[in-house]
Amino acid sequence: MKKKGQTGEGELPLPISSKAKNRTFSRLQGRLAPYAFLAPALIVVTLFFFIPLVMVFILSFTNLDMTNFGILEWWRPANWSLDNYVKIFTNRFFPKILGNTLIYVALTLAFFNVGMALVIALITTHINRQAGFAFRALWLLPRITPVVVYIMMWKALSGPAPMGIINNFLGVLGIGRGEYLLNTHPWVFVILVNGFIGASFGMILFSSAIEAIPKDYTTASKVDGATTWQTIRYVILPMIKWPLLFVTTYQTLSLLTSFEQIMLLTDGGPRLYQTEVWALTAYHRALTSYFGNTQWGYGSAWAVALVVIGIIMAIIYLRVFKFGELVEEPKIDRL
Amino acid sequence: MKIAFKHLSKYFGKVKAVDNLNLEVGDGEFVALLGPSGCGKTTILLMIAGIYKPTKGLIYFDQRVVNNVLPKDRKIGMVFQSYALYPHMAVFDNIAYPLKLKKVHRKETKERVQRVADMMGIGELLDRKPAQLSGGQQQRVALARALIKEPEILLLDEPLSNLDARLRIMMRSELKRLQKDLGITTVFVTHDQLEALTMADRVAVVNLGCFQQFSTPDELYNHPKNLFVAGFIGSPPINFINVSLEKSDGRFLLKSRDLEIPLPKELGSKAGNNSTSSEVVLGIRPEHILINEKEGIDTEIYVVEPLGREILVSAKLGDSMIKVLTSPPFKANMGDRVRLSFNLDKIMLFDKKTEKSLLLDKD
Repeated sequence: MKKKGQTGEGELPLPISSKAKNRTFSRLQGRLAPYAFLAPALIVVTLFFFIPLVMVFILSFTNLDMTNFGILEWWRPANWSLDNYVKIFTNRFFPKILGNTLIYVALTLAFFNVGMALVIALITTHINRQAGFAFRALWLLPRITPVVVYIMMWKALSGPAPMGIINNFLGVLGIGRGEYLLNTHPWVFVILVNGFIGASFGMILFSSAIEAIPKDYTTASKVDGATTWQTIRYVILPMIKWPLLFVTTYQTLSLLTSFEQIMLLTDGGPRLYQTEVWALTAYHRALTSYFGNTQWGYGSAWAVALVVIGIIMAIIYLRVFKFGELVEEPKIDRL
Repeated sequence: MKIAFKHLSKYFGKVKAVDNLNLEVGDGEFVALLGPSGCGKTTILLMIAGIYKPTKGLIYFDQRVVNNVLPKDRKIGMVFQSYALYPHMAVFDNIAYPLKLKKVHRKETKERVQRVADMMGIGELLDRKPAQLSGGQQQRVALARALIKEPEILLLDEPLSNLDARLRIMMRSELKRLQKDLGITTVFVTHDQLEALTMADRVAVVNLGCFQQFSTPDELYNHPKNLFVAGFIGSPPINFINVSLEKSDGRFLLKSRDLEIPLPKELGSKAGNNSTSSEVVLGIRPEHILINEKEGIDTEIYVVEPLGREILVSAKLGDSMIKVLTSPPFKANMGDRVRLSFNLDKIMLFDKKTEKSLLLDKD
């Protein structure tokens, strides 16, 4: 056995200069290797994430749009101003859009992405294992269905009387009048459509977290005199605090920035700005316009403002859930 | 409170974890369930706790059948092998948890927690989290949590196995004393015979989901009902020698290639009456064999292990090894030839086929 560092010294005497060169090379190699491994990811992240981010940020201070594209030197600080932000907050529909966003995020999050996810996770971990697993697998279907197909199905479901399935049921119950439900109750569908997909994320995380809780804790709780509900409230929920924080934070941010389902479903309608949320506004302002004049700068400003809101929300969550305590290390066991 | 099982069985699919058990635990009695890992001890405990429902049979608390009573209505305190202290709650909240569930008033809760914590000697630790406690302290917290609701039955699942040796010996005597002081009917699961024999009033030896024997530690050690109990209880373990039971001139003899032991009359006729064939297993505990130079079975010393208070001698008899406990001083060395004589009052005989003792009166 050769000892470390003796490689090549005993049996292969090299000229001094070549040995030194070899050493420099291997040292250089050691330094560069980590960067070489990082490079592919770094390039992708820089090109497709970091640079666009900076560009959007800068664009939000300019009035770049279809008409002055190629003329406006948007990268010059002389062309930057806060006009776009003033325009956002003085917009006649700003309160409506803000309200829509809050309703959309809060209701979808509370009823589905966290609420329904938690309920499904708790139920499917308390019943027969296979049945629970099968149910969770079924609930994943909306997520793996192409979004356009998924939305088409919802549109068909909510269709007017003879065709729409929901209307058929409502008709039997005598409460439906056979209208196109997307026009009469757009918000219900916006939240349902997003919630059915969104709940599966939390459902998977919560149920694996619940299953990871050692059986002794729930048994102990039952012997201590707890009902199932009390065991959930005092033992299971505190023990899945970490995934709860993660799902709440992560889903708030992804709901804030999501708009594709709403765009396909109602496109912010049916009435003026009725279901238009913040992210959809950013998209509409920046990339669509009836007259072909897309306002990239103004749209960017909407997007940047949304990022700021997201960061503030995340910080609030970390405070509310006492993130510091969650990651506190246990004291070393002492006899 | 008395506990009784009537034909109790628990199956998991096709696996018979517990099979047709009958048992009665008296009021205030300290009973140990002793057996190797996976023998169904914990399943029995969880059935008493109400976590598992029996597949067949009945569980009685006093005169009442409790098969369908929920765990929370059973007045049971339980200590787990892992202690199962809720990691997110401080010691105070852990102990107070059963009271919180019953919505006991704050002030009363405080008093009772302090009282039971002082009794367990952990009154100073109430604001700590379980992760900040040592194993011994955690165990006391677990006990305090089990005792605070003044249970009528206390269940202990391997309560000492996570403690280090010194602490274990200390907690052994402490638990025994505590149980007697409080007078709570206690069922206690262990795989450690020393724990079972030292602490319990009566020990139920469990194997393969069945009771092998349920009696006092003394009975278990001196009059085991079958081969399993004889082999499981005792350290160093009992010696088993395959012999044949033969009759000549009206007397019974134990015979094998290497030895021949004439049995006393009473012993011989009892064994002769009970045996189904001549194939018999002779059991003799290491401390019931005498080593001397003059008379007995000729053997060769294989190894000598001094244990301080005693000396463990292994001697070769044919193909088998006989363990002998003798008191110091012991002069002979490895390879020396010595003679062994068995204390005939203490020998045990088992039927090789049925594995049952031949010396006990038939049930």
